Amino acid sequence: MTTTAAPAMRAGKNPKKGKHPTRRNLLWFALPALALYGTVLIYPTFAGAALAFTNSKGGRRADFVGLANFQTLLADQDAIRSVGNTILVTASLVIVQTALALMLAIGLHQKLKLRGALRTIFFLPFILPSLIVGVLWQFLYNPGGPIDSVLTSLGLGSLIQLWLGSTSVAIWSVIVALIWQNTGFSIVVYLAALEEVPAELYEASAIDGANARQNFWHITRPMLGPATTINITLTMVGALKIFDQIFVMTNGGPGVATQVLSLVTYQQSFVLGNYGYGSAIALVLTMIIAAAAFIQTWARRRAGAN
Amino acid sequence: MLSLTRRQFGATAVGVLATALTVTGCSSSSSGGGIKQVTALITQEQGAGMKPFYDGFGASTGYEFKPTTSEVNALVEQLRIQINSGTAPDVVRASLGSLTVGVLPLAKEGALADLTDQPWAKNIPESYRALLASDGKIWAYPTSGQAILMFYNKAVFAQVGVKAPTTWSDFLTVCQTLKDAGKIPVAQGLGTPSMSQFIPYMLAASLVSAREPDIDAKMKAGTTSFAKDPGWNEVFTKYKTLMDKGYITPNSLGVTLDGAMKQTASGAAAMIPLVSTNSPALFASFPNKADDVGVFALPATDKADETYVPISPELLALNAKAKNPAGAKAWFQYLADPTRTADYAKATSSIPILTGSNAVSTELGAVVKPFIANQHFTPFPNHRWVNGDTQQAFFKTAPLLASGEITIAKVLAALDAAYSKG
Repeated sequence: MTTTAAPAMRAGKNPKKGKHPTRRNLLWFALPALALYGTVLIYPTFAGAALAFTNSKGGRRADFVGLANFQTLLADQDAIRSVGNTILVTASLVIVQTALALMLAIGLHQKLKLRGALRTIFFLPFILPSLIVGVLWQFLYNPGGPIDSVLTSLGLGSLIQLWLGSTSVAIWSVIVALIWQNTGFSIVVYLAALEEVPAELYEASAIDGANARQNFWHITRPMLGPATTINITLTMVGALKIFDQIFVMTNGGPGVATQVLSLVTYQQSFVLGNYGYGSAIALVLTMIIAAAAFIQTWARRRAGAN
Repeated sequence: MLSLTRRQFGATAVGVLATALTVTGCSSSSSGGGIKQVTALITQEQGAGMKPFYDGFGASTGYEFKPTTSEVNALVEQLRIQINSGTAPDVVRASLGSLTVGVLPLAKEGALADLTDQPWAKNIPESYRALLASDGKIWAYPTSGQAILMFYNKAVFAQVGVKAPTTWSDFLTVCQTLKDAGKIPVAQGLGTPSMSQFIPYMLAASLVSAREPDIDAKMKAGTTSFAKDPGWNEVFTKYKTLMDKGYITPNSLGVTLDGAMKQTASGAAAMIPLVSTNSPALFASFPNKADDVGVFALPATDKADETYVPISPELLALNAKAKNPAGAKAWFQYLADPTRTADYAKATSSIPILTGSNAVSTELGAVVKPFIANQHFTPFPNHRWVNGDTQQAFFKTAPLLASGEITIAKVLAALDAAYSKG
């Protein structure tokens, strides 16, 4: 009995063990991915952060300089201006793009004949490469270019500006191009959320005699809360990191009128070879993005709790 | 299950290791046996100019020249990484000036090999030695020189009845005549900030570098500055004169370099200042290419013989850790042949600068020849500045002169502030 019982017990245990590998065993499967992640993301991130506390010029030698790069940043008028521009671009995109996307999504959620085509048209700019968008808008903004021609033909020639060449107008021209490119994505997020709103809620409100404005305020708006959070967070993070389009359209000019933090980081690191200082700016930008994302998430959770 | 996973894991690891060893073995055999191969990191333009020489070099020396070409900005980034990681090729394209991949900073950190004993080294013009030599050693081979010149649409000049000017007053008269004929005298696309350098650098060659050959030493010593120097003040005053008189593209801040080239090619504008190596892009827009385009050195004074041309060399250097230093030196020597320097210069719209080189049979070569013969050329001013910040300050401020948003005094002060960073 014992001689047969023991194998039987083992037979009863072992297959179970084989079917449910321990967490430790599963880690072996994750090891290549973890190694890759650590090598190409974690290590460079921390190495880059460490560079911010050195005077690295890209050469083999770099001395520890403590917070000197951050003190330089505080006294660097161009960098300060770029912080202002970064905030302006971010705020404009978050507010205008989100509001525009919400309105368009509600419109495109209606039973229109060309709904599918319109959705595609609005989403199309988002899938264009950023460099192409930059070149396209640079062409549109050319003095005497398509935008000027349209304004002239509409009798609005007095509105013509030096779209990318004026220090007071250029940043707004860039913002318009960015909104044009990215609104499509926000629309898609809102459309997905709108599909999830139960039709019964609108039917019930109709029985109660609610009008369209009340429907929006008391049903649509609260139901779109999570989608709004996603849109605001992604738009904010994307706007804080914006680089390609501005690099192509103005390269930060005229003067420093469209210079943003990511562009200053690039110029300091890869044009001037001030890798230490460039890394310090990048670190500050990372902190701003992290703080913005944290505040947004916290505010949303708090609103949800209330 | 567990033992099988371990076995699989072990087999995979062995496989990866074997592959790595095979790849390493392959590469070391190719580079180890590669005593015959000369590797290089050069710009696309350099590659285009050197390509015709690859076969001849192989036939005459037994070495194979195997370059990687890259767009210049990407090359700067790649080279820095390769130098740091010890993976740079034998021959590298080094920059001028104080950039992190500038020839002198690289030499200072021990990344380049000494080329002083090479036969061609004695043919480097004296005015360029300071750019590529330190501690009495030559660190780079100058492939050719790129000049900043004024290019013009021959048809427009003929139509309006003007000729290439030789003095500053002549130049202003030509501009006025062109303007009166409804043409934009000088195309400027300051939406590409680097274009704001070209006219000031041409003027500075005559008004600053030629008059004060020691100005860089004085600026480093702090005994003069952009704001104090009468030459730099005159440079910007003359540049602003062109703007104020309406001789440059209207709303030039909204126009790019490409747009300025199109204005010139279409005949809307008559002249455009360019670095000679950019001129093929301009020629491409004309029906008869270079034959439709004239070129002259921008005069800065009313004495024709006081005109200097800004010409700076393109450099190749030898990696201190080169696997094939003998092959790399053989490549430099092969390029230094008088006929090849001229052929290379012709192919890249540049100018041979090693003394004893053959003349280039192009209009560009003919225009520059007397200036070379009379030693009337100087390096671009920015190549002797102590840092890259000064040039960046130039890009951020000088274009705004066109819109009147900044004064000359403020531009000069911004340059001084950037220069003082050292």
